[in-house]
Amino acid sequence: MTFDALYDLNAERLLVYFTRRTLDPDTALDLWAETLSQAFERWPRFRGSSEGEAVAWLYAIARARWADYLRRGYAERRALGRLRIARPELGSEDIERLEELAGLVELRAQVGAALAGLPSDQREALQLRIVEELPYPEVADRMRVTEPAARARVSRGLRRLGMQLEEAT
Amino acid sequence: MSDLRVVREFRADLLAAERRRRVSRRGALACVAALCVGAGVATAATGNFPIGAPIEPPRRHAPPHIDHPVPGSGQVERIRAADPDGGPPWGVREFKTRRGYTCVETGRVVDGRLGLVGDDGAFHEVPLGMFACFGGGPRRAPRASDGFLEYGGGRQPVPGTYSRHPCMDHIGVRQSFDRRTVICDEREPRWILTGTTGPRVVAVELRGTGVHERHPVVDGRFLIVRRGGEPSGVVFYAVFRDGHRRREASTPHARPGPLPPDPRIVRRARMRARPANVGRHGLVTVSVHAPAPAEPRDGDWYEVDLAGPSGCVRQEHVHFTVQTAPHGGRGAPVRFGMRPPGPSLDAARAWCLGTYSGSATFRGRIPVGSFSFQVR
Repeated sequence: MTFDALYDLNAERLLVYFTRRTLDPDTALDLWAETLSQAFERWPRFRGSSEGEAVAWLYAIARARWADYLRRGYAERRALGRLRIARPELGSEDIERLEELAGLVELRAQVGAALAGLPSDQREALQLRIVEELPYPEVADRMRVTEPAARARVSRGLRRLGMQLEEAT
Repeated sequence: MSDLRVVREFRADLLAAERRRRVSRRGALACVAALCVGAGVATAATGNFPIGAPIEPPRRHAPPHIDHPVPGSGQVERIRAADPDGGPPWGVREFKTRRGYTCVETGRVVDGRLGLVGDDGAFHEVPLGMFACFGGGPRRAPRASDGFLEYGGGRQPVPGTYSRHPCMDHIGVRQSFDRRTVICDEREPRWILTGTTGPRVVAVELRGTGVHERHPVVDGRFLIVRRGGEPSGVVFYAVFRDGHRRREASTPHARPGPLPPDPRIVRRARMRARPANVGRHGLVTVSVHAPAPAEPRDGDWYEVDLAGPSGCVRQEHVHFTVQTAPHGGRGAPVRFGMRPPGPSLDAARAWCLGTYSGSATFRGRIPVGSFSFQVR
C-alpha cells in the first residue's frame, strides 16, 4: 500500500472524525493536517503490510493528536512547520459540506443537551477549558480550585459527556 | 477522491513537500561534497520559509494620546533566538518614536525583516510598532561591571503564531484600534525576555527546578524565547567574560523596574469608559486618570474584570490583562480599548445588550477603580 492510497481512502473520513469530536471545522482542520503531516513524515518507517494495519496506524496518530489537543487546549502544527506547508484553509463550501458529512447540526444539539445534564462544576470547567480554551491555571483560578481539581473536573466532564453522547447515538 | 477542496489541495501540498524534501536531500549531499559553509546552510534553512504578504499599517488614525514610530528608524539587531517549535528565529527590532522614546519589539526574523508567523503558516513582515513595545529607554553608557542594564518583556506571554481573529489581549498597542490588524492567538504562547548588558557579559543563564539554560549575548543584547508562560522560581544570572556569574533577578519578580507607584495615589485614580453607550460591535475606550507621580511605567499592567449583563452567559465574567500604553509618557493618562470579548467558535463577537460594569487592579494588587458602559 502507498501513502497516496492511504490518503485517498482515509483523508476525508479522518477530517469528519475530527470534526465530530471538536464540533468545529477549523480546529478539526488543524488536527487533521497535523495528523496527516506526521503520518506522511513517518510513512517511510511504517512496517505494516495490509491496508487494515495502515488505517489502524493512521488512527493511532490521530488519537494521539486528539489527546494532545485535550491536554494542551490547542492543536500543534509542528509537522506542518517541518514540512513547510502553509495551514490549509476551509472555504465556505467545504465548511457546509463538512458539517453535513459530520452531521454537526444534530451533534451540536445532542452536545448541548448532554452539557445541560452535567453537574454545574463540570459544565463550567468544560466551558472554560474547551470552549474558551483557557490554560488550566486560569481555569483553576476562575473556579477557585486547585489546578489538579480543575483538570479532574474537565476530565470527568468529558468522560461523562462522551458516555451521554454514546447513549444518545 | 473527496469532493472537499481542502482534501484535494492538502494532498498536493504533501506531494510538494515530498519534492522539496528530495531536493533538500540532494542539496545537502551537494553541500557536503563541496564542503559548504554553515552560513550557507543557515540561509537556506530560513530562506525557504513560506513568505506571505506584509501586514499593512493601520489606515485609521490612532487616538492622539498614542505615540507613533519614526518611519525608517527601525533596526533589526543581530541577536537571534530559536523558536521551540522551529521555523524562523526570533529577533529584536529597535525603533524611535516621535516623542523621543526608544522602543524595542520582538518578532520572527526572515531575511533581516521582522514579522510574525501567521495561522497560514507563512511569514508576514510587520510595520514598525506593530507589537507591544518592551520599552527600551536610551541605553546609558555601560560600565565594565554592569550585568543587566535594562530588560523587558517576559511578563506577558506573546503568541507563537498569530491568527487574523481579534483578541482581547494585546489591546493597548496602536494597531489594536484597527479592526483588520488586531492579531492574537493565545494557543501557542511564548515567554520572551530581552535586554541589554554591560560589555563584559557574554551570556545569560536561567537556573531553577528543571531549568538550566544559557543564552548568548550578542552586541550587548540577550533574547530568551521559551514555550508557555513565565517560568516560576527561576534565577537569572549574568555570566561575565572571566567566567564568574552574578545573580541578577528571579521570577516571578524577574523585572525589578522602578519603585512601584504609591498605592494611596493609585487608589485616587478615576476610571471611566467612553462612549457611555456603544453599539454591539463597538470599541469602548477606558481611561485611567491618576496623579502624575502614580503614573505606571511602560510595560506595567492592569488586570480587568468585566461583568456582562445578566443573562449574557458567554460574557458573564471576563477577566483580562492590559499593558499600559508604551508611548504615553509620564503624566499621560492610561487608556485601553476593548472590543467584544470571545470566544468566537460558533458566534460572532458582539457585546450583549445591557449594562457592563468593570473594575481594575494595578499590577493585580492595587484596586484602581470601576467603570461601566451601556450596549444598545
